[in-house]
Amino acid sequence: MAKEYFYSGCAAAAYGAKAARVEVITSYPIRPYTGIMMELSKLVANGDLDAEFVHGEGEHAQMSVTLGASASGARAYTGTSGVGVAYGMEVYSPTAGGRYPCQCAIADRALDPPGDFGSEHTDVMSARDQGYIMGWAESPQEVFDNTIMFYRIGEDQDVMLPQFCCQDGYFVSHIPGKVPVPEQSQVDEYLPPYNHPHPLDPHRPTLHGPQIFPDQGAAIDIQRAGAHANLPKVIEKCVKEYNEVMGRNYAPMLDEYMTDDAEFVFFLQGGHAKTARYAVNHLRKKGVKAGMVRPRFTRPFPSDEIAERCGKFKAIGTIETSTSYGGAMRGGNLIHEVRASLYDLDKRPAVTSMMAGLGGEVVTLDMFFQYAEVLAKAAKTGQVDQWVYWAGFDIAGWEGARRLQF
Amino acid sequence: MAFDYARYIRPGKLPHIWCPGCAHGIVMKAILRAIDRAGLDKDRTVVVSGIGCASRMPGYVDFNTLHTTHGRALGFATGVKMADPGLSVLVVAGDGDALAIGGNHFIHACRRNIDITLVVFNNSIYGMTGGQFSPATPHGMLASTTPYGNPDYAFDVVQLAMGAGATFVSRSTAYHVLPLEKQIAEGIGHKGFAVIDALCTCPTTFGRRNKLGSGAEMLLWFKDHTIGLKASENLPPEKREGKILTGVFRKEVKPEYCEEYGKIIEKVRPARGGRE
Repeated sequence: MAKEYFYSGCAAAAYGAKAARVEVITSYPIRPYTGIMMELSKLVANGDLDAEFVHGEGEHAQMSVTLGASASGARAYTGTSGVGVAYGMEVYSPTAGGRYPCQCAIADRALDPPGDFGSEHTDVMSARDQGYIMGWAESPQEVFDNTIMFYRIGEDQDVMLPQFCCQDGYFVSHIPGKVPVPEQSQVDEYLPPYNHPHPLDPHRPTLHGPQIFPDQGAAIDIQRAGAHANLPKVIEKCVKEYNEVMGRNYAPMLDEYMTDDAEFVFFLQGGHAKTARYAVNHLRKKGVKAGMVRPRFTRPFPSDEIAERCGKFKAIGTIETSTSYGGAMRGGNLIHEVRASLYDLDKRPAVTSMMAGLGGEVVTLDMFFQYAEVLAKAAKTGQVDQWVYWAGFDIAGWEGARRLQF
Repeated sequence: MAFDYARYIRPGKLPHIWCPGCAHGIVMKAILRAIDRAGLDKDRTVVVSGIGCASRMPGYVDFNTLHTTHGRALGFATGVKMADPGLSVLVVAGDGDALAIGGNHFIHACRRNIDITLVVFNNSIYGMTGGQFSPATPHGMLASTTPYGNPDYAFDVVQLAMGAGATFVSRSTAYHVLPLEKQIAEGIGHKGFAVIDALCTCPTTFGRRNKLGSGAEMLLWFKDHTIGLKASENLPPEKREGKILTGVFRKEVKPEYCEEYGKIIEKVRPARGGRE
């Protein structure tokens, strides 16, 4: 039977990787994800995990070693945070385009400048279009479960894609929570050994990553897009099986809270969803019909599920924990894709966004309450006054924000 | 008369973030005295750093300072120097910053012989992120990612710099503050790329794990385990064994990069009809 442990998000990722029997691990220190590697290095050194542990000389090297390990047929594991995510960027497209289903754990962190250790989703959101599977966990338990689930999804022969297994820096990575750890036999039943169809092998030489002619490019790109098109059904299958084998209750794509009769919902990913649930509870006590929708995956983006399940709300407010400077909605990233997903509906909810949780800022209950007023008004009128609100600035009436004139 | 550090420290920026027993402050003060000794103009001096404990130094000192990305300080500094070769440019970097993620910039700055002075705060570990082993962690030592000893061998900063072509190369320690200050001043005065390997201590993440004692005890270890380069020449091999050599290993005159670059412009510009 499953034993329950008290793990931080970092420890949960490390023990998830151990349960997934990763074979090559590559590290480079950067806060906050580095806790994962400190845990894993001990497991390897103590003989509790039979894996090679390689300490790279930077994230660029780290991602390259991971690609190489995956190409030679090993289940490869790495991770990073913040500017480390940015420094590894060159290797993401070759990893996804080469269809290496390795995993990169992310404990997110703000990018420079200025030097900031706080959680923010912009680091890996900037890499969202390289072809990785990508999704945020809300709790250490989900980190543990996603680590195993993502390998299974990524290694599906119809997919063969790398994964960013994300968690909020500090809010999830450094705050312990209960994690029921299944028996190794249960994990083994769920996740068979990694089997690359054409591994690098001196006895059966193969060519990986050749230079191509420009007219061959689109043919390769459409295969990567095709793998992503296969993802929703593979995710549905793999999450369902995980729930059955491990006794969990994950929604494949959209995690919904109090949405049955909700007039408006907060739409957000990651650990701040925990606060959103409390905000919804408080609002409900006051008779406000609020709810919450949390996408478990950012890539593939759950467009179909949003069109199917979110059209009934009168207003949707995305909580943007990442920035898209100069983007269509002038604020974050989620609103673009939520609005686009709803575009073909006859009756569309009003959709607006709130910038919050940047640079490690705590998204407080107050911020949700203030935003709820905006959303309640939008639900009533069917219109939004602004595409983007900045929590603590133009909602709370901070004088300086008025002068900034967004 | 006591040295006036306040002249070089930004008001309101202290206390610093360094742990008790950390030797980075000693090296910082040696740099300030060396800058003073070299007679640099504060407004024409630029101090550049990357990421890490050592890289916090430019935040405290009152020059033009640039805190950049991990490993890239020498790249940014090269841009600064090329844009205005009249500036005095110093780079401070930890061993992880200078030799791992920034190792490529390190060797190429050496190769170009650009007139920049690099002080490596070499404490053998990634201190800020929790004591992971770095390219300067000696073989066999414990780190948070090598709980049973480091299987890698460390870079010798001096050998690496000389092999890559740096024209001023020296080593001192945070215990030997006077030679350290003198070497840094000499490096600043040297026309070309100067590398000063400043051995220092991280009692928090390196000393504690390896049972090396307090910060002060770690400094005394430097006293007992180093020999000056000149003194070592007269010693039998058995007395040199296990000792770290300190001193100026190389000081040679070689064309400097910005000057060579300027010469090409001077040569080509008139021929291409440009301004003299």
